[in-house]
Formats: sequence, C-alpha cells, structure tokens
Amino acid sequence: MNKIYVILFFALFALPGFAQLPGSEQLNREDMLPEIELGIKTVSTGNFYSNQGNASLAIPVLNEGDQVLSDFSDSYFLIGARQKLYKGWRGQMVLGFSFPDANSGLGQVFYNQVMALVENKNNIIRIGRTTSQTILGEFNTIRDDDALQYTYVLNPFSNGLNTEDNQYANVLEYTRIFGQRLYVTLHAENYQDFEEPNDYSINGLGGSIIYRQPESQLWNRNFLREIGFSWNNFLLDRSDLAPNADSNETLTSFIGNATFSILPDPVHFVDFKVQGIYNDGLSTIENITDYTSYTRSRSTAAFGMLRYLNRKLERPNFQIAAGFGYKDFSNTDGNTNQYMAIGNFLYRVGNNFDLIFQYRYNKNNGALQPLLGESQHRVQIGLAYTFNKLFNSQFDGRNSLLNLEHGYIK
Amino acid sequence: MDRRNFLATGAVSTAGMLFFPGNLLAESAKEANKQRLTQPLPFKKNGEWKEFELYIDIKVHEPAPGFKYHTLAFNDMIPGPEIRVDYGDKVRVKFKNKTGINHTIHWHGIYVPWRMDGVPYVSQLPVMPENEFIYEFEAKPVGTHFYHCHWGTVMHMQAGMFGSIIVEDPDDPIKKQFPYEREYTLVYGAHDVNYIRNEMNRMLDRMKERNYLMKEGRFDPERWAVFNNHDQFAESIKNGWEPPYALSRRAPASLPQADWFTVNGKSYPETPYLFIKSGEKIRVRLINAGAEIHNLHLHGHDFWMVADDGIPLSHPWKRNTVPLTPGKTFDIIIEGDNRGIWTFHDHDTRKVTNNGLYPGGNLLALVYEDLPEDELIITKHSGNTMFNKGMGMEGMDMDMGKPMNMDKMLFGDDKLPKIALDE
Repeated sequence: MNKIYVILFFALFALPGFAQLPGSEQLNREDMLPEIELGIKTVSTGNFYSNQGNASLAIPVLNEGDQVLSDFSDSYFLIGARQKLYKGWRGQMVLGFSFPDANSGLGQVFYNQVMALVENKNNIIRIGRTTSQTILGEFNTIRDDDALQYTYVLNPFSNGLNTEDNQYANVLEYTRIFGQRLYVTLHAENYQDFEEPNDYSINGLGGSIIYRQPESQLWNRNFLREIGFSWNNFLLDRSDLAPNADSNETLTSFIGNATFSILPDPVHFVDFKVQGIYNDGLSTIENITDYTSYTRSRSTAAFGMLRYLNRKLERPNFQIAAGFGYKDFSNTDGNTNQYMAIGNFLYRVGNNFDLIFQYRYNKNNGALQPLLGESQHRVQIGLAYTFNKLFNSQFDGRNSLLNLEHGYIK
Repeated sequence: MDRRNFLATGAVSTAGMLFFPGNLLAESAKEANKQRLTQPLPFKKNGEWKEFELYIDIKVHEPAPGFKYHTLAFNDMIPGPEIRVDYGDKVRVKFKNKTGINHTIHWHGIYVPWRMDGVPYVSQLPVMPENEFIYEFEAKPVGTHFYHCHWGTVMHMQAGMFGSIIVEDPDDPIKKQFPYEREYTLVYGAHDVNYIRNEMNRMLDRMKERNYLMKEGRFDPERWAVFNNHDQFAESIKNGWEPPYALSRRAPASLPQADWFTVNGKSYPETPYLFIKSGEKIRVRLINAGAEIHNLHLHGHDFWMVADDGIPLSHPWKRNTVPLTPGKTFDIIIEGDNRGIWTFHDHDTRKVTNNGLYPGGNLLALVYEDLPEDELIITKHSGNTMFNKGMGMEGMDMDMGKPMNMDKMLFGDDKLPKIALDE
C-alpha cells in the first residue's frame, strides 16, 4: 500500500503550480484582489417523528414514540476566494461550516470545507476537507442526508451518531476532464475515525468516471444528463492501532448512477435520478450487531427519485419530488433489509426563498431492527433560504455557455 | 559582427516582426497599422441600391496581447466594418443574426424611415436568432455617424456591436477649407468585460429556454415581460404579476464599471497610429460608441474642430482637448506643423488603463512619417547628458565588483518610442 501513497503523492504534487511555498515576507507582498464568493443556506424546519421499536444506536430521534423538534441542521456558511494563476491555471480556497444534527458529537458547528484547489481547463486538484466521493450526483431531498443510508457509501469508521462523517473527508483528489463532459477522478481520503479521532492518515482510496452534462447545457434538451461509476476502498488495516483487530482488510464499494431529463421542458420539467451502491462487505461479518457491522456488511442499495419542477417567469415556482430506496444485506441472516419512501414539496415565495414540506417513511427489517428501530414516520415543515454572491468577478467558469460553446478562455 | 551587435540586430528584427513601436517609421509598420483601422464594408450595386451584408456572431476578442474575452462582433470584427456611402445613396443592409440572442441595428444620426430605426418593440420586432432583417434607407445627412445594436443596449454595445457609417458629401465644405488626402476613423469604446461576460452568459441561457418555447408557440407576455399595450401591462400588475425591476429578478449586481477602454476595438499598446507628414492635413473622425466621456487631448498641436455629430461647422475653431460624450461624433483636422511622435489620449487618465493598470486604454500616437530615424536614437537626441553617447554609465563600476552595461539595460535598442507597462 505504501507504493500507492508514493504514486499518489507524486501524481498530485509533482505538477506545475506547487513550486512556491509561502513563508517568507517577500512571497507575501503581492497585492491581489481575488474573486470572493459567499454562499449561505438556511434550512429551518419543524420536525415531527413517530417511531416504532427501540433502537440501540444512541440517536435521540430514533427513540420510540413521538417527538417534535426544531431543526436547522444542514444550514451552512461558505466563503471562497479564487484568482488566476500563472500559465492558465486558477486557484481557489473555500472555508465553511455547517450546523450538524443535535447530539451528533460534532459540537455546535462543523467545519465541513477547508479546502484549496488548483484547476485549468482539463485538470482539477483538490486538497483539504471537503465533500467526499461517497455519493455520485445529488438527490432532491430537503437536506443532503435525508436518505443517507441509501445514497451514500457509509463510512465504516463512523460511530453512526452523525451524518457528516459520511459526507465529508480530508481529501487528496485529482480529476482529469475529457471533452468538458467526462470526469475521471482519483482520490485518497482520511475519513473521520471515531475510535481514533486524531488519526489523519489516509484510510480511503478510490476513483470514478462520470459523464456529466454541464448545467448550462440543460436547455439543449439531452435525455441523459449524467451517468457515472465509482469505486471506493476503505483501508481497514488498523493493526498498528489495535493489534487484535482485523488487519490488511479493504472494504470495497461500487456506485453507479444516472440522471435522465425525462421532460426537459422549461415550464414543466421532469427528471429522474437513480443510484445503486454495492458494498462488498467483510466476509467475516455475518450479523449486524452494531453500527460498525452495519457499515461493513455486504449490502446492495438502490435509490431513485422522480421530480417535477414547475417554472414560472423563468424561475422555479414549485417542485414536487418522490423517491424510494431499498437496501438489502445478503450476507446477514434473517431477511435483513430496509426501505424508505420520501416525498417533498417546495413552493417558492421569493427569489431563492422556499416554503418546504417533506414526509419520509423508513422501515428496517431483520437484524436492523435492534440497531435502528422498527420504523419511523417523519414530517418536516419549514423554510429554506439560499444565496450565492460573487464579488469582484474576474473570469468565467469552465462550464459557462460562452466557454463551452464559443471557445474556452484561459 | 561581434556577439553584442549580433544580439542587438536580432532583437531589432524580431521587434520589427511584432510591430513594436521602435520600428513604426518602417513601411511594414504602416502596413500593419491598417489592421488597426476601421475596415471598409464592400457593397454590391443592385439597380439604384447599394447593398451591404452584415452579420453578428460571438467571437473571442483580444484588445491587447494576452487578454481575451467573448464579444459580439459584426462580421467578426470590432468595431464592425465601416459603411461608406454618398449623400442620397439608397442603402440596403441585409442583417443576419448568427447568435443565440436577439439584436437590432440602430442607425445613429441617420434620417432613416422610422420603421428602420432599429428600436425593438418600438419600430420593429427584434431580429431573433438565425433570422434576418433588411434595413433600407436613404443616406442622409452627410457626415460621421455610427450604427449599433439597440437590443440589450447596455451590454450589446459594450460587447462590440458598433461600427461607423460615413455619408460623404461630394461637395464637402470641410475638404474645400482644409484640403486633405488621408483620413482616419477612430471609434471609442468603454467595456466592463466582467459585466459583458456575466450578462452574455445570462442572455444566452435565457434565450435557449425561450427559443424552445417560442418554437412551440407558447408565448407568454408575463414570462417575457413583453406586453401588447399599457392596459395589458397594468392588468398583469393588478393581477399580482411583479415587474422584474421591482424584484431585481434579473438585474446585475451593479451597473457596469468600465475597466477596458478601446479605440477601434484595441487598447494600448495595440491602438492605431495616426500617420501624418509635415505640411499635411489629416481628417480624423471621432466616434464615441461607449458610455463614458472621453476628454481627448493631442500633444503638441491644436486641431480644428470641423464637424459636430456629422454636421459641418460653419466656423471651425481650434482646440487641443475635446470632450467626446457618449453617442457623440466629432470631426477634427490635424495640421502637420510640429514634427515628432505625439500622444493623443483621454485626459481622464483613468481611461488610459487596461484592467486598472496605466498605461493602456485609448492611448495612441500621431506619428510623423518624415521624422528622421536618427531622431529616434535615445543617446543622440535625449538632451540629457546622462543619456548621451559616451556620457552614459557604460563601463562604470557600480561597486558590485564588476562593470555593468548600463546603456544596454536602460536603452535597449537605443530607440524611441518603447512599450512600457506598469505591473
């Protein structure tokens, strides 16, 4: 495995643009005014839970019975800066935090983005804490983690008390772009390990190939918007930390996804997103007794979501989406599986300001019931406000209409 | 030839190929300068009509070496080609829209029939993508005028949709009073390239969506904010429709703040030169197709103001600085009575910048062709003993342990003018 690290290190760092390191006064004298972008989202909902069955996982919203709470998780604040570099490259940094679920063990805020990247027309190098490659694409749920158990490759080092462990990681990532549509990525991660929270060594490796129609091409009305495949490996070799634990084991998962524009109509827009995850699991795990065995068992998950978007006056008016997920654990006794039905409605009351409603039903069967409870109804009603503001605009994005259709400008 | 001379000769040759100013008295420099001037638009004669063809397309434009941005360009050039006709000619311009956004052409200063005035939804419908419109008018009045797009004018004009139209008077009183052989057209522009980029992307995106619906005949006045009359407009507001300006729905974050300033689409050091000879009079047609005032000042001369908005002045007057306001045209006559190389530039020096850095923008030069090349040599004619040959610092020990070739460092190929850019 050490060879892989060496190759990865050179692949990522033995490239132009890394010749200078900060640290001397002289290097810091240049006076630059970069592009500065603010991104802010607030998702505030009143949540009603109705749970059946006792869950051993210590998450309060899984407790049996009914609950009502105020939820502002998944809200975030991001600030980014970017500028032109030498020889046609661009550099960017992003700093940001989000608000995790209550009692998640992450504190009041979670610094989910502390990242720098350099890029040119065909290459992106990303280093730091950012969104991990445990999902391909995005689904139209109110919060990114609403269907987490079906849409993400779950972090096998997590204790299951928060969702951020699955969504974010400290990454070293290189992407090569072919024809402005095909993204080939190699990545290495340090996923948060609840047993060793101060261990920042690489414990994930993987790659992906994604064909992605740029967003600016939406009205060219292609049926296939995105199709991708990825391969993720969690390196479970913890023998140095826990000599009696499983050693030299790798947990491998595969993801496939696709997004189709079923009806690419500017007024009545319909699309369908689907994703499947196969987690090869560890052969030694034959039963699910805790969250660790839940993430390390062989499983197959599928999730699909159909969306109707009504656009009025060239802006979203309302949106209705419905999804269904199913996850099966084939190596586990007792017909162990789970499924989810989810539906939501968003109504736009002003630019970027939405009234939101979402209903979700989740059912766990077999060995999952003692861990996650039997079933849960959840209803959410609230408000969401999102905006991005770019100051001191200086250059165009890779996927703008001008750059894609009228000649890319460095 | 020793190595030092060889290197110097090599540098000069390369400079000549690149048309650096040091060689601007060479014949090749004058030839290259033609590309910096307005390009004539040829016409076909069809009966009594002079027929021109204009098209508009999106183009990557380079106002100064190393900086590019997307523009809207008539016939792939900025400014658009120059239409030159005689007074009273019947002019037919076939306009083809090759872009994904709407356009029109407004004939600024020309007495066109009102339906040819190019104002969308006032005198005509916009020329949609891949559509054509034929403009017909009689060439009146005489003088220096220009044409420009009148759709999304704030962005489209900045993006390059302008060009000159000259109506010549066979009995031109200006030419009689100031006999001249050569004339130049200088079209001034001011561009917020970031605004242009963002707005053009936005417009293209919107039009992709609109085109889809238009092809299906699903026109909706409120969706496009285009109403048949004021009653329909008022009725929509009464029924709860909120106009875009009330919500800043599509408004850019701020109004444009120009950061590039061009003459004939180019910024210094790519701006055109005005060549003149001692004793010669040249006519310069100044057009402001941008939204900024340009206070144009000529060094070392007063010039004659001979026409205002194309209208000949019965009593020309002399100035050395004139405020060329947006939409304005001036004609001036420069008399070659002070041999040299003289800059002609905006005296609001904020506009002699490229992306905020001076020098740049609309800085250009009046160049006397009969200036002896000898006068360009720095060490011979500087008037400063420090720079005079033999009195310089060549060979001086700068207390750094070894002699330095200061002449070479300071003077380069020992010629003026040079290109010097701030960092």
